[in-house]
Amino acid sequence: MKKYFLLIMATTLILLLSCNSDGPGIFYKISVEPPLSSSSLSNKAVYKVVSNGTDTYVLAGAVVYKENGSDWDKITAPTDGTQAVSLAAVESQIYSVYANGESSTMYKLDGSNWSSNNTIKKLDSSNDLLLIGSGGNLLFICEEISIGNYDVWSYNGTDQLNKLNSSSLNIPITSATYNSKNYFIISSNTTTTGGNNKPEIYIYDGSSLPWEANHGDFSTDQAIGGIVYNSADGLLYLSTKSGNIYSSSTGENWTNVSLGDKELGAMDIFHISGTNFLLIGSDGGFYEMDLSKTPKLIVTPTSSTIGETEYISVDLNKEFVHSILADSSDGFYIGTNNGLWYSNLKELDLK
Amino acid sequence: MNTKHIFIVLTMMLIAFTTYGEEVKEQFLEPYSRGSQTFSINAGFIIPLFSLFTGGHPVTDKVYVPFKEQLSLGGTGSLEWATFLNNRWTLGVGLTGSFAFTQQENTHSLIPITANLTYNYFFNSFEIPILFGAGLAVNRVAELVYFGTVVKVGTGLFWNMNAEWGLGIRTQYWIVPEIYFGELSDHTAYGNFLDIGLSAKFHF
Repeated sequence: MKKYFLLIMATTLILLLSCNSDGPGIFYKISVEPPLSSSSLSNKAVYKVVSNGTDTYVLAGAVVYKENGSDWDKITAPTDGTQAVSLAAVESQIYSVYANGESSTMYKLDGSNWSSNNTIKKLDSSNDLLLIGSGGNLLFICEEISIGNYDVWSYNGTDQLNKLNSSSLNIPITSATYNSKNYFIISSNTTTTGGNNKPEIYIYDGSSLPWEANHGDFSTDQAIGGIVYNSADGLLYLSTKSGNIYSSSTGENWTNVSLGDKELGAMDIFHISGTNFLLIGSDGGFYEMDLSKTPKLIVTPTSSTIGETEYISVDLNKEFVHSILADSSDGFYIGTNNGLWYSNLKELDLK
Repeated sequence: MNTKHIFIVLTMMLIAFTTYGEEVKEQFLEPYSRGSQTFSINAGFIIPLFSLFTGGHPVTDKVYVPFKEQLSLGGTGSLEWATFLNNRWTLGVGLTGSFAFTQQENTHSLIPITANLTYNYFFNSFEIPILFGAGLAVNRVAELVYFGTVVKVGTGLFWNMNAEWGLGIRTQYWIVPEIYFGELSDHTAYGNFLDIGLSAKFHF
């Protein structure tokens, strides 16, 4: 009798000890693991993913690539010795900035070649340029006119290149957007010591008034990852490097959702089955926020439910996400430190 | 020749006549008995077959999910010791290690430690073991580790070269449960594998 009791206890202990402290399931992971990608983007850092509505382009390393079926074609630099430092899209056009350490120039893509036009040539190529964001059919450019001084431009993709505000800012500008009323210019720095180096939000209405930091009740003791405007609900969404998502209609009163200790950055709005999701890149995979729920529902990178489909991103959890782009084919691209992923909600594949 | 000698010769003749024509019956000697032991070294291939998701695969909803390209043909090696409980049955333990590769070239490894109950069938210089084993297994891929259980059934064919050494082939079917509760309960699955290889067995 004692023998049977010991056997039962041992069996129970074995079952209770069966564990995997870091889910998901091993046989599940094996079953969903995508094949090794043989694409030109394998093992490359993909900093930006953009689309002109027809084709997809990425900035991987210091080279711009165009999607070509199952692989990617390199777009030749406009000038020998220059490297791509920035990529953006506005009004179905692709724009880039190529630099060689002494100058940086903005270009527009014509077919497979880079060209310039009289409008964007107005930007001084002796200054560092960065394409920092878009919104309301406008592309925003940050120009370092002198060390520590920055101008912000908006470009409508044709003939209107306007400097936002005659005065400059003395902190690097990292992102910008527009909600049809105001421009929201984001500066961020990893220091939190206050003064001119602290993260800040500038709300500019296009008047001639000088820049004025106006972050409302947003706490500026945390570095800002990015900002995006969702025209469907009229809200601005702002991510921070301390794991928070803030939302506001005017930029003055902010509500926040915490995602823990993840460093959050790039975002995009993804529309599927009548619901808008905020896709949020982080230093370990990405999150999805169901914008139709109140309070807004966050799902983690390790499990996700969109509609009735469930999948788990495993390998992506280890990757730093630089860029997210929702495309028109019911899927989205995720540019990471280690290649480009694409999700169609049922699968997550390396591109 | 005296009387004594005559008596001896007649007795010997009597013995010879009475035993002439009788067949000597052979007795089958059991090769092993209680307390005999064996030690085996085995090496071969492991074939990942399929996994069964009892609640349906979380993405495809299928129960039967073949490993196919997801897991490669792998290798396996093991050490086993057993002692005879009687002249047929043995009880022993086995330590096995196996590996295979996933699509992303991650290594999937299984390390079962099992208690094995085996029935041995003998004929001529051959033996056929029929094994049933159960125990614990470390199931690992990339950074994921699962401590679970394993069940094995198997058989083989051995040729005993001499009283001590036997060589043979053997095959074992493994069932490796991976059971979860709560949020990950739909990841519960049972991995099925086939181990085929060569074996060297030492009897002592």
